[in-house]
Amino acid sequence: MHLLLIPIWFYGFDTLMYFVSAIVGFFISSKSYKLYSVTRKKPHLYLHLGFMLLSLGLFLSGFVSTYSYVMYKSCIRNCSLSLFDTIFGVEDFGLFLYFGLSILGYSILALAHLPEKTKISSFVLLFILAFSVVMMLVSAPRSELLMWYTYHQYFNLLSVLIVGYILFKVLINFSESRNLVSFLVVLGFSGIFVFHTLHFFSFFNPWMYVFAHLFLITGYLSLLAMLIKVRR
Amino acid sequence: MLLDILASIQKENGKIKKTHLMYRANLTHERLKKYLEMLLLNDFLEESKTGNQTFYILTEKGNKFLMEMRRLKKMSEAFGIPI
Repeated sequence: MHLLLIPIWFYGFDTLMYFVSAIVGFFISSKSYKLYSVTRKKPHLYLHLGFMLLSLGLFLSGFVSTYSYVMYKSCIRNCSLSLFDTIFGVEDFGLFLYFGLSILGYSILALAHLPEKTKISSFVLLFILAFSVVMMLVSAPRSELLMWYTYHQYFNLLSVLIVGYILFKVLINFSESRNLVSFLVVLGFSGIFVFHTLHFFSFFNPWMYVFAHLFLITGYLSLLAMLIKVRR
Repeated sequence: MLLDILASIQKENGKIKKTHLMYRANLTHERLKKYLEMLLLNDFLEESKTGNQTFYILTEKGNKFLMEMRRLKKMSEAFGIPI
């Protein structure tokens, strides 16, 4: 089990970044739904659902970290262990949901990028889902107090793999189209990819956590820039 | 297909004869009728008759819808998902 190292001065900035990223995700989700309502194509539905789930996860993460910081600051001078137990109980549950929603969101986005002729049988999907759940459950007994610290490693590793696939697909698309909006999408997913990679090593150095979040916000701001560029 | 129909009308300065539209959209009479009914129902088009000829006119709402769909198409293509 590794504990995350988060610089105290960074408390709150990460929360803000989660909220901003979630809002951008909701914008993309709503635009994709508009598109799906006209085209009725599955990839557009996947784009809508994927970003919707990611945004819900990021919102949840933002709320959970706000709750943790507020509780932590309120008891910083006179803190009993039971209060920390309550804080981490809430954090545990909230972040566990965030992990689940994000993995589901990334998987659905990956589905949107599969070639149209590819048919993923429900058996394969069920296998991937079951494998993820088993991996999490296997790691659970090793966690004595904070189960999300243990899951954190699996979550980021799994996210790197799935986002890596999406990044590969959008890179191919950019190499063919060579336009600014496609480039901004590549930048967006690159930011998310680096976020999960650096977050994986957050236990190593506090600056990893800071840089990871800077990449997250850069990624989502690139996606926002893409939306603005498309509107012009 | 609905977008193709709206785009064809826009290309003709927002007004087109039914026969021309059938030719441009490459649709049978029956299928075109079905799509036109949908577009008229949503107020994206207006029908006007001059003598024996029927014209279809792109409304403000239809024009805005077409512009929005073009933006969404760009977004979708940026993600590598063609329409």
